Amino acid sequence: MRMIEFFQALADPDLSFLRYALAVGLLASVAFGIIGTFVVAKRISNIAGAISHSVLGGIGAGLFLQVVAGWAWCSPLLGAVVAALGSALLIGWVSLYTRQREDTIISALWSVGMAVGLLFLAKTPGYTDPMSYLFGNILLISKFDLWLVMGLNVLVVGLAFFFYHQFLAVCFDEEFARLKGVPTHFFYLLLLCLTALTVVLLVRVVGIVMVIALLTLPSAVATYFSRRLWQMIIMSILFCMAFTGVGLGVSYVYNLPSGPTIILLAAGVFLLVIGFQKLFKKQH
Amino acid sequence: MAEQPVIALDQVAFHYETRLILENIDLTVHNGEFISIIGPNGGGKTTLLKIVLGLLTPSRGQVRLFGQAPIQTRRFVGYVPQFIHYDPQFPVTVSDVVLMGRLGGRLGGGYNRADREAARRALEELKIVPLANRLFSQLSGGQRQRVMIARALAGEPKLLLLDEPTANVDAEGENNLSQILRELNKRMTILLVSHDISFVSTLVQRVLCVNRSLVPHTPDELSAEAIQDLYHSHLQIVQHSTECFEEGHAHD
Repeated sequence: MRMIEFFQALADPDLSFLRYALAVGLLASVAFGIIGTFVVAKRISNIAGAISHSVLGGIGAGLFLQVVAGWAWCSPLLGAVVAALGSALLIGWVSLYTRQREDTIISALWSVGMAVGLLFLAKTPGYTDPMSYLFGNILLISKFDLWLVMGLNVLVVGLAFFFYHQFLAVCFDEEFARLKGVPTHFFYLLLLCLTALTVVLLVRVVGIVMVIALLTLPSAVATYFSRRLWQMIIMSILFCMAFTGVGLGVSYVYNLPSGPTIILLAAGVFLLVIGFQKLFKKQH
Repeated sequence: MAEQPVIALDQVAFHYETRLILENIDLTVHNGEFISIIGPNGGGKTTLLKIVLGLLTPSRGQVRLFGQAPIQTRRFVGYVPQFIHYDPQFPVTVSDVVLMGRLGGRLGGGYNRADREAARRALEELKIVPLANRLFSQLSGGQRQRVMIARALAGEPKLLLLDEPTANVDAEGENNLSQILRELNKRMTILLVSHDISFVSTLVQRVLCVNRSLVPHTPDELSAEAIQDLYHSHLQIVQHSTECFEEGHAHD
């Protein structure tokens, strides 16, 4: 079994980045499973896609300001968080309060974020490889990320637990929830902001381009095994953990890039589940 | 009259962008009434309901629901929408949906015993207790409709608003629905929107025809001319007095 190599590597003190990558991946699966479920159930994965791509703009701006403008307190991570939250609020505002074409704004933001990021990266001296942001690079993961993910988990789990019924109603029938006095606009914007924060955290593991698949595929698979929204959340978390854990192991053992390995594993399982579903036509 | 009206619209007009949808709407609904709004598709029926609920703001005129702005009092309304745009794979059971009727007036957290009992009563009243643990997406159109009504009732409303309740229901379902509504009218005001004149004429006390403006009728007055005038075409005509009615069909 070559998988043993992976476990040996995890125990190797010289390969701490691998332990961090696995820990970040498994821990982030909690936030991913919860937010991914809401994103899939509310059918806003295209919005989540635009938010994740706008992150590159923030990363580029953060690096540029840190290196060129000499703002020591600035960092790519801070830029990413600001860009993600900014684009989440912008899209939320457009879809709630204006009569603009939402899909046009979403795709514009998607590309503009990438363009801004690439320009800043090009004008930042030193070697900054956009590839590691676009497709993930687990070598970039540090102990600091672990703390960030744990903090986010506390926030996401707490909010999802306390507002479970509100989120359920907003995802299922927003108009009715509003009539019942639920501040649906607030919950919609909150969901987009949480999506933004969640996406930022796993960008380093799977990259900007593919993070959206890791957010939605576990929940898409979980849909077929759940009758209640909370069951879908738990299943999504478990699937997300399985995909990132197994994906990281396979990518280490066969010396493959981690992001694509994880995503293809998730997509493969999703296709299998759809296939079996069609084949057996269960009562679900 | 001392008692304050349930719904009071005063000279309401509504524009969608520059298009005029409704104008000069005066409407007063009193406690215990059973009223239907009929009219052609695109005539503004659903718009009028949404104005009453405060989901749309009129471009002119005043809206009062239980004497206040709709946004203050719409929690006391049981709203049964025509359809909801939900994801057919959405994992939600019938009892989950009915409990949503109890969401009002809380910050967060779960449902308590009173909420569960109210939901249970609503399920019993609509005779759908056996469906409680079924997936909402697996139900037939008629069953789904009952669930929507149960959800509205779970909130213990004083006013029930229904938008096209017969749209996805077969003849038997229509019959059951009229019995249910008749029963409910004993304890709450009902306003229903429909294009189905034969359904409403046996039920309601007052019929309002909406086609941009509002024309009041009693069910007996629903004459051929009035309806033709409203729809600008021939259609199924109902003449109605007490419980018996005859139908005349005019085909084109």
